[in-house]
Amino acid sequence: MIPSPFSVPRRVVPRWRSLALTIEAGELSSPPPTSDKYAPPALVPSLVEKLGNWRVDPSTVTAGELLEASLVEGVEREAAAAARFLLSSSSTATLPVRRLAALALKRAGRSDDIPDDVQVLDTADKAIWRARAREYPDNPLAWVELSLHDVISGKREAARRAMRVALQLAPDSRHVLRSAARLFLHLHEPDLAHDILLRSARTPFDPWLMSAEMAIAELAHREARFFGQGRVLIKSGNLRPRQATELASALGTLELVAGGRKKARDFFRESLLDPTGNSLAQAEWASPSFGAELVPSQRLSLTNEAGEATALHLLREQKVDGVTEACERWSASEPYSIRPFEVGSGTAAAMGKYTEALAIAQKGLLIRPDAPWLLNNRAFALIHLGRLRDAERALQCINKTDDPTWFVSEANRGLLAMRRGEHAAGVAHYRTAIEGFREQQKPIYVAVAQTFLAREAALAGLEEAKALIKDARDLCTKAALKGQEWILKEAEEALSRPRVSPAQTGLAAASQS
Amino acid sequence: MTASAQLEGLDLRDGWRVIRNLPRNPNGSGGTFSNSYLAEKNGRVAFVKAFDFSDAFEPGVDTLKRLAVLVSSYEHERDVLEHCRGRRLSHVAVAIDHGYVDVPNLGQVEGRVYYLLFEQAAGDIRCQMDEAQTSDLVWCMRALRSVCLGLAQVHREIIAHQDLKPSNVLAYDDGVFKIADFGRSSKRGASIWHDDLRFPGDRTYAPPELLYGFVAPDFVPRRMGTDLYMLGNLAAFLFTGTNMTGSLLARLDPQHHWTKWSSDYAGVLPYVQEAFARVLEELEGRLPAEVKSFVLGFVRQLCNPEPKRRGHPKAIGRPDQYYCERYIAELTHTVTLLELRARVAARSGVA
Repeated sequence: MIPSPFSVPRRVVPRWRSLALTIEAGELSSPPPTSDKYAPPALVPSLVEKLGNWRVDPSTVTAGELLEASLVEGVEREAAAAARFLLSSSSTATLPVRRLAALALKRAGRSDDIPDDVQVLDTADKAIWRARAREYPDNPLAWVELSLHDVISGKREAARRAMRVALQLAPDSRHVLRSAARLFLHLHEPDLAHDILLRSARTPFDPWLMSAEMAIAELAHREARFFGQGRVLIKSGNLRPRQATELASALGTLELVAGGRKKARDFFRESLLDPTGNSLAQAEWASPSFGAELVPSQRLSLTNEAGEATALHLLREQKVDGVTEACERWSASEPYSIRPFEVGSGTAAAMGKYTEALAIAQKGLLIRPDAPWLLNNRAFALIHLGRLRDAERALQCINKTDDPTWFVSEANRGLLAMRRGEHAAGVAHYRTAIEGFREQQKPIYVAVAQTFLAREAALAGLEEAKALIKDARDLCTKAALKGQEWILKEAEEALSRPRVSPAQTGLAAASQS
Repeated sequence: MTASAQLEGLDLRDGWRVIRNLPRNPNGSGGTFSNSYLAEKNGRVAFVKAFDFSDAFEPGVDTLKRLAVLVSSYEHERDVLEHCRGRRLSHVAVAIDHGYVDVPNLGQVEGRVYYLLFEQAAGDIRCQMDEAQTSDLVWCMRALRSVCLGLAQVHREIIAHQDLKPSNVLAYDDGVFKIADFGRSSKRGASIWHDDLRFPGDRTYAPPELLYGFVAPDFVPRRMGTDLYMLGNLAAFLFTGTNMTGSLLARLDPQHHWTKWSSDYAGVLPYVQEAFARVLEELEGRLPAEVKSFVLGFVRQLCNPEPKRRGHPKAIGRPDQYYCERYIAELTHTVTLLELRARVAARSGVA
């Protein structure tokens, strides 16, 4: 069996991706409060003087001086003509001056005027970041980027070391703190993640750090320290919607968990005024709790990094076709996270696309080789592909815990045994899983496990198959679970035709995929 | 036409005669306006900076207040230059003379023009922006050494220049470079109206922390730290033709530009450091192999966006952190070596 993403508690944990993407998401800005009136930039006398010099005597020097003054004053449009002059084919300006002219034109929204021979690079790979950190070690963001590259490639200790350097250089930087908190959470150190947020003098004033603190406090089984302050900050109305979105989302989540549904709904509404991909996904995740749509469909197409929200939305509406594609987009915005792979492989497996499910799970396991959900999804896909020995090895890697994933693995052990023809052992494993889910009060899981047991019993031609199918159907109805209908139909079809041996079923699945 | 624009043909003190108005726009970078001329005496030509006080008499202007600012600006620059002249500072463009001249047919108040007279320079170092006019490595390093020496000389007098930019580094025919224009300088112990400004000089060349509103309370870190940044900036300019502040801000995302940043400097510093690293990459690509390591280190140390880390690594946290003496010996050594090599190369070329 495969777990449902809605059964996992989701918190507004900061997303950690490349610096360029984080900046683009508007998470690192600090605009003036809404109470400040917008004043268009005024032309200072020194800029006016340089503008005059350029107009009276257009030369490389006057154009260069105007260009630099416009960049410093943030009025690049005023120097657009001078920048074009410096970039013209007849210009003898130095290459750095020409590059500066290209950057000014880009800022002025005139990228089309930049000639091809002047490159303005926006992205950097690991080698560039490594060189930057070596050449100028005082650059904390280079260390954060190095840490990100390391964690993506599974080098956890290297990632930790790089992040420690970044924290020493900039212990109060929003980007460094959010990235570090996310890293330590990834390394299963929620206490440390929470501690570094608590230690920063900036957290009590910064909505992005407050939201991270609230989310991580819960995962560290601690009390959120800034709940009250965060609420006051949101109520003050001083924050711009983008600045408030994740804080409102975190507050909404805490209210929802505490049972304050009305307040939670208000906070989620506030969070959706100008959401990030993270707050959008959080609202999508919370939607079933309200029994209503929190996220209008058009929001999904208007918001950047909406991959996760789209995946959850499609799953909730049981339109599974687009889920794996949405998970790929989600993975791009959280490259170190295994969640997109968990949901993507689970959905592909649920659709019967076992080869695809296996490939997605494999990618996720490169990031975290011991991720139990991914191991379960891998085992499930392998069993259906007839690779029973590989599936057994995957299941052996899952350690026994109180977590539902252990009982999911028990169900998969049941599936494996049934396909091997060890029916009694298979049923016993399924029963253990179902009992475990019952104890943990997870009716959806109970229904899903019962459904798979019924199908396997039918495929194996067991006498009790008919009764098991009936029980499974009742449980699915009670849990309002529609997605399992095709499995039950498969079971009923198996009952109505002559008995098929388990080995043949496995081979058929393999050739089908 | 204001009085200061009518000096052509007038006689100044000590036999100097104003011969030509220089077609330069009034310098309006911060409230002090002036006109420029050439003056001549016995075949010797000098540069005249004529202060324009007419602005104080414009309608709607508080004349007394404005006049006080203009007069104090003139007096301040004159006094600083007199102080420097008395100390025989070799790399500072000190005034040859100063005084006033009365423009005929104008009243005694509006017709009196105060001026400063300087030795005429061959030009400034702004030509480095143009590949077709850039000078060779020895020229650049000599200029850098001279500016460093000039700055060290004024710093010894506890004077901070605060407007050290390419147009204020004058090149003379005999191969000497001097720092000029002390209109925005500050002297410890003497107060002037522009001391209250966050940055008195041309903002295009200001260190980033001042643009973001971070101002150190003490004279040395605030003003000499600024000079140090501008010295590093000049070094970068000599090899790239670009100014560090503009290059930094061009590499920042617009949301981190000082005009759009409402939080403190510490919050934006990591992004500025990142931009600085990228500017250093560009500089590294432009530096000749002979001086790459030295100049890169020089710029990295002097232009560090974090004022606390600015200066020679051996001086960080020490009382001499914001003084540039430590660089003079290294610069002198480098220049001597380069001159020697050039001479050897020239000789072997002749042979």
